[in-house]
Order: sequence, then structure tokens, then C-alpha cells
Amino acid sequence: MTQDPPELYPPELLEHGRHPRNVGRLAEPTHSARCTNPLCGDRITLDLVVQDQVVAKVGYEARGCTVAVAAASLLSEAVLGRPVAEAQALAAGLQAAVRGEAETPEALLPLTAAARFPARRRCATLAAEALEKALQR
Amino acid sequence: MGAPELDVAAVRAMFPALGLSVHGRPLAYLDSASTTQKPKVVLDALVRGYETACANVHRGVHALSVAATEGYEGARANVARFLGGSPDEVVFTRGTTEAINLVAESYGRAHVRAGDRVLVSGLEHHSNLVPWFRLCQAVGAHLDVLPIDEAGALELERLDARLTPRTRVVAVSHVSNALGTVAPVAEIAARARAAGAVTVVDGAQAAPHLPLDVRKLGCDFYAFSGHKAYAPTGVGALWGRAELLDAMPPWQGGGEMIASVAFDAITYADPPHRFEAGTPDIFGAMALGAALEWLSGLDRAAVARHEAALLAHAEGLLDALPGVRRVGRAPERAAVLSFVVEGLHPHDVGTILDLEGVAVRTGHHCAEPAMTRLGLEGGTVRASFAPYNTFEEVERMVQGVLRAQEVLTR
Repeated sequence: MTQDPPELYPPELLEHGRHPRNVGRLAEPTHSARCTNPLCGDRITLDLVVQDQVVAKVGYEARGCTVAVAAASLLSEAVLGRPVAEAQALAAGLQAAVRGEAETPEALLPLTAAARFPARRRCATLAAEALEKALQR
Repeated sequence: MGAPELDVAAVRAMFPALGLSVHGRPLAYLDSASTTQKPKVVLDALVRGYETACANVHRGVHALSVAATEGYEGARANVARFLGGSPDEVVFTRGTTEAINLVAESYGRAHVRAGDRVLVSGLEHHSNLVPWFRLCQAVGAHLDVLPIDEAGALELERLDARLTPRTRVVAVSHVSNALGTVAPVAEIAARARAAGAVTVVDGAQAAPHLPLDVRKLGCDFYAFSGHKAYAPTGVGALWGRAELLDAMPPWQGGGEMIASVAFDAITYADPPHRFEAGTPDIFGAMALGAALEWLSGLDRAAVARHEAALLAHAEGLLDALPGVRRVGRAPERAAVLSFVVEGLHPHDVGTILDLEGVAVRTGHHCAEPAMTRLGLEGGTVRASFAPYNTFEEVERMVQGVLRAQEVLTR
């Protein structure tokens, strides 16, 4: 018997969870940050190379559940090649969406359902937090 | 004829929360090691305290205050009976964590000096690790670790080497919350004593499962939480050997813990009140007393057999699933079952189980060093059992694991 996956795990999220993009630390990042979720031990270290106010390179090491890894992967794809201000807006937009205060940004739609799983919200936002923290430096 | 079986249906009927549905399915609560559900008789005791004896303790001359004091001190006697100690050796605390912090702050600050050593086991919950880490850091002492093996058992053959002449405290869990390992506390305490160290036992997981007798265990301090033993959250107890408590300084100051106070001199109360500054959780303590009475009133041997049968059933079913690996295979284990599913993160498995109505704990279970030692960076899925659990609930959990494999690895 095959049933549909629960809404938290749409196919695109599962696919990113299994085959995350842009994995790996960067050799010479201009910005880096590490965020952890002590509740479950999820951990992400995110590197960026910013050139002329554009995210030229992105890489990360993520240890965590499917949602946390997929979120890092989706976010990395969404910010690559975008202006820093847009990347920050995406990260903020995802966090607002998961808090239920905004629509999920188009590029991050597979994370929409996380808002309805309070125990999993932080999994969906950990990469966004790391991105914000990195760019503050 | 075998020994009488536990009447699980009758036990379940005592717990209002077990009738709940979650996500449209009947609740299968397999997370009692986090906190147990509460029987009606305990909830009634809590409400009855507030309705019939709501006054402060040890203060008033009026009838309600007398009733509150009698109820509170009666609960202390219940705890003492449950642990095999005497009432003046029982200090009410917020729970295990506060009890261990009390020992670290009071006994530890008085007896552990620069260059001394504190020994903790590699299984410890953060509650029996962080207070000792902080103490060692504050006074310049060393923290030693009694390691665990691959099965999650303590490597007892290394104990004597770690009991140095400077070891002042040995801190060990009676039952591991993460793996279910039962530690040979009596043996550890005897060897610690011979080496001149006191033994502090985290009994949070043992209290609901094992018959306890602190004198037979030979330990010096024993801490447990009410909420893991069918009582409300926010109340627990520390048992301490009388001669140790007598010599210990207070750790918090305020009302209730003094004999006399002037601006130039304060005399502290005798134990246990010396360690209970401020108004305590009076009615929580009464409910704790009721919970321990309720638990002691069950056929404890039948409960233990039932919990062991649930564990064996779960182990048998999980062992038959490809890709599932049980973690924690120490020879003696209590009603805790930890496992990992190949290729799946415990958090994701926990969410799928939750959607099926099955409540389990996932993650590192506040025992990060033990998880790291076993190479489990994402932690485990943990099911834990109580007398109200059924074989059908165990089967639902196993079905849920299958479902998680199906939807997450498609």
C-alpha cells in the first residue's frame, strides 16, 4: 500500500533532502556562520563568497533531519547569484512564513508546511538563520 | 499457574489523557521516560490540596495552615518510605536537576577543592553532568569520566583506576534515560566509598521502574523527579544521608530555612528544611506523595514483567525490520528502547510516528556525550514504556517505522 507522503514532506523537499545542492565548505569564504538547534542537535555551518554585493558562492555543511538539510539546499539555490539584499529578504521571508506571518517565498515553497508543525519550524529556518548571521558579519 | 498478569485495561482507565486522540488517531503514548501521564487519583490529590488545605506551611496557627503542613510533611514521609530513608533525610526540590544542583552547590562547594576530582559516568543525562562540570570549573577540580562500551554498559573494569585519592564525588545514573542501561549502583557506591568518595545517584528513570532502597544501594545522595513517576511536574526530591545533610551549608537563602535571624547572626534550620528556602510546591508535593502511594499500590512485580514483555515485543519486531538498528544492548536494561533507522533522521521518524498518533522522543535525549560516544550524531528514536502501554501500541509504533521508511525513502 502506497500512500501520499505527509504534507511536511512534499516530493521536492524529499528530493533536496536526499540530494542536497551546494554541499561543502568553501575554501575562502568572505562570510561564515554556524547555527545549532540544541533541541535535536541539528547543526549547519554556512559559507558565502560575496562579490560586489552579490552572493557569488555558497556552501555549507549541514547535519540534521530531512527538513533541515532540504531547507539549506533550497536556500542555497535560491540565493546563489542574487544580490545580498535579496538573499537577506529571502531568509527573513522564510522565517516570517514559518512563524505564520507571511507567504512562503516562491523559491522556498516546499518548506511551506513547516509552519504547521511547531516542533519542526526551527528545522526549516536553521539555514536561514545561519545566512542572516553570516551576512551580519 | 504463572504469576498474576497486570490488568492493563484497569490501569489505563485510571489515566484521563490516554483517551486522547492526536492527528485523528488514538494516542499511543510511548514517551513516559520524558514524563509519565498522570493518574486521576494524583490529579485529584493536587486539586484537593488547593480546595481543602490552601495555606502556607510551617507558619500559621490556623487550621488550614496546619492541614497544609500535615499534608506536606505526610508527603515527605511517603517519599521516605518509597526510597527506604527517613523523612528528615528527604528534601523537596523542583526535580532531579535541582536536587543534583543542590548537592553540587552545597556539598560540592564545601568538599571539592582545587586539584580534587569528580567522576561522572559516560551515560549521564546533562542534569548529572553540567552541575559537576560547573563545580569543577569554579573550584579548579578535574572532571573524570567512567566510559561506556559499544553496548552502552559502563566499563566497570575501569572504575578503580578512576577512583583516585583525590576523587570526592562519583555521579551516576541508576537507569540511563537514553539507552535504558541499569547501572550497578550498589557496587559503584561500595567502591566509591572505599576510595573515600560520595556517590550521587540520578534516579529519575529508576524511580518509576525499580524497587528502591537507598540503604541497600549504599549511596550517599539519591535524586528523582515526581513527573517521571506519575506525579505533576515541578516537584521532586533529594534523599541525602543524614550525617552529610547535617554538615552541609544551605544553598539558597530565604524564609523557611532559618532558625533565627538578626542583622548580625543567622542560625539555619536543621535538614531537611535548611534546604527548602521559600514557599515550596506544597500541593505538588502532596500529589507526589499520592503518586508514590498509587505506584506502590500496584503489583510492582507484575508491572515489571509487563514492561519487560513490552520491551521484548518491541525488540523482536524491530529486529525483524531491515535497516533498523537497536542502540543500547547492555545486559540489564529498564523500559527504554532506543533505535536508529538507516538513512533516516530520528526527527523525521518521530514526525511520521506522531502523525500516526504514536508519541516517542527523538534526538540526543539530553545525553549528548553518550550519543557522541556511540557515533549517533543525530541521536536516536526512543520508545519508553509504562504499565499503561499495550502490545498493540508497540505494533503501531513498528508500523509507523515502516511507514516512515516508505514515505521518506521513496
